Amino acid sequence: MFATVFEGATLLTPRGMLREGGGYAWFRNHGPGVADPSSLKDCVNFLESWTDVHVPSPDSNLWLCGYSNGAAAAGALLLSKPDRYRGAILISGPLVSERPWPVARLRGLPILMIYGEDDRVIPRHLLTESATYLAEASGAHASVLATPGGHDIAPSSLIATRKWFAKEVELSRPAALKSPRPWEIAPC
Amino acid sequence: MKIETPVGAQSPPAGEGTATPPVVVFFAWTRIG
Repeated sequence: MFATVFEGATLLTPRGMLREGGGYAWFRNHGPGVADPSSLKDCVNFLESWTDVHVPSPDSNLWLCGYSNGAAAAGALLLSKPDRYRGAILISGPLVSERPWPVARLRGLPILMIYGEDDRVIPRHLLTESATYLAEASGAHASVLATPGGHDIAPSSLIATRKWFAKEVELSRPAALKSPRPWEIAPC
Repeated sequence: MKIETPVGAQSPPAGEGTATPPVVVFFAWTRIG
C-alpha cells in the first residue's frame, strides 16, 4: 500500500514485536494512547539501535512514518533524537512521550499528522493535544490534517501523504540538484 | 492492513545527505492473523 506513496524512497516496514490488542504493537499501553513508560523506553532504545544498524549514516535521508501505535512509536523516536530524521508522517496516533513535551524540540522538522475526526480508538483530546504541540510549541514545520473517518488509513490520507512527502523531499534536496545543469539549459 | 516484513529484512546503503534517496521506516500496528 505504501510502496506507491513514498515514490523514489527505500521503504522499510518492520513489524512490532509485542502481541497486544489483537495485533503486533511496538510498546505496551495502559489504555488507548497511554503508553507504559518502561515499555516505551525499551521500544525507543531498541528502534534507535535497529535504525543505527540498518540506516547507519548520520547523514542519511531518513524519514519516519507510523500508524496508530506505530505513529506513537515514531513520535517517541522524533522527540528522543530529532536530529536523526528528515521528517515524519504520523497517522492516527498521538504523542505518548512523557510530558511536558519540550518547547522547540522539533524545530524546523517537517511533520505531517493525520487523524480521523471520528476516531473511536484514540481519545480525541490526546490527538488534538499532540496536534497542537506539533503545530505550535514543538517548533516543527507541521501540517495537521483531520479527515472524515475513523481510526484507519483512508485513501484520502494516502493521497495527502504522497503529495506532502513528494513536496518535502523536493524541498530538502540540495539547491544544486534542483537547478538545471549547464548542459540542460537551452542555448539562447 | 497487513505488513509483516520481519525486522531487518532490508538494509539500505549508507546515506550521503539529502542528495541520497530517502529511506522511510514505516511502523504499523499490525493485526494478528
